[in-house]
Amino acid sequence: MTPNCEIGCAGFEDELPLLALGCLTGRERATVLRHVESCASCASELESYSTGLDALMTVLPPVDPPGGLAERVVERVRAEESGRRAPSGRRRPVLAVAAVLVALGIGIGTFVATRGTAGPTVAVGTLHSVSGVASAVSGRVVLTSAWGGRLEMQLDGGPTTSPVTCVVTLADGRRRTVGTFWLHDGYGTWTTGLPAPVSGVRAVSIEDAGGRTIAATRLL
Amino acid sequence: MGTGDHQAAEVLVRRHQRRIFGVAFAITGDRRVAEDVAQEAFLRIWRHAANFDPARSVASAWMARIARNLSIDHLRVRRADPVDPATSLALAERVRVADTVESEVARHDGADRVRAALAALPQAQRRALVLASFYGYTATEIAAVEHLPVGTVKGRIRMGLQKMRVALNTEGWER
Repeated sequence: MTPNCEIGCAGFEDELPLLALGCLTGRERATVLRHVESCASCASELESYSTGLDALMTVLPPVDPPGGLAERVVERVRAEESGRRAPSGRRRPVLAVAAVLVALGIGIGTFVATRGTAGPTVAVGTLHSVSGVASAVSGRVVLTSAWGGRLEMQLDGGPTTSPVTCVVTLADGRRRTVGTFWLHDGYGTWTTGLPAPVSGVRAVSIEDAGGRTIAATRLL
Repeated sequence: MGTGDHQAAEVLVRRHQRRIFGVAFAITGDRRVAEDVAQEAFLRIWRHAANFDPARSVASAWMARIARNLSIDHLRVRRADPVDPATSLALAERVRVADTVESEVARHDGADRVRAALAALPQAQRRALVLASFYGYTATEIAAVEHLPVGTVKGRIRMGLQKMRVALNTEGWER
């Protein structure tokens, strides 16, 4: 334990390898990182475990990929670059509306960006607890038209003893269940297919096992 | 981005594609998914190359880590649905199968030493370490699959990594 180590290192010795391996939940990760920031000894230990993970990865044998991988990557790089040159003023009205919705207490932080005609459409939303829910559920969702349409979710503070259901609300008001997921210690991440085009999704919500919406975000 | 940059991107992919695709394929076990992961990995590598700090990591290891993390993200989605514990445990054995594969890496001294150190671990430690390292299982998930206390699993992962560090310390664990 170093002089500036306020908490005993022993309590973290099993957690450091898991942090290096990326296998801690959001809250556990935050706790261990706080300790590491104030403890040079544990920071050094963490660095060593990270190097160990790099060494472990070398046992995975190289494999020839399908032909044309390089061309497809370059194609996506080009598409991304053309999207980056899209007019930047597009997001302003979206953020203004989002601010109004935040004021309504729904809990929203969102933008949608169309990355040019060649690039994927991406929507990002921040999930917050809805009014009346005691637990502080938070999360981040990314919708992308890439890979045939994907939804990537990261959720924290959810129920620990029952699953949650992810639901998207479409522009016409219809709701589509994306899937039901178990969280670990209230934390979970998942990526799954999107049942509609990104531009057709208006909201993403999380329901508890009783069908009650516990967190949501609007996509505009 | 100019034409020269696109050529640089293509060179980057061609130089590292076997390694990146290999990581993705070993973890996901599906060539189609592995290609998706590899594409995404190269895009992220390209986007964040300017932020790469050579003082903190070796470039090839940094790239492999990106591919590993994306592959594990994919696996975590699949694990959102209930999985037969036998399937999960079979994952831990998949890496051992690679032990017998005659490959470029199998002939590489560094990888051989790592593989030997991994093989020398007690099976319980190796299994916990492989599930966490290559498949992103949390200690809680491994504990549920193996019907063990979470603390036991955490201890096995730590002991496994520490034993590997001792075994490799003089041969390249530290950069």
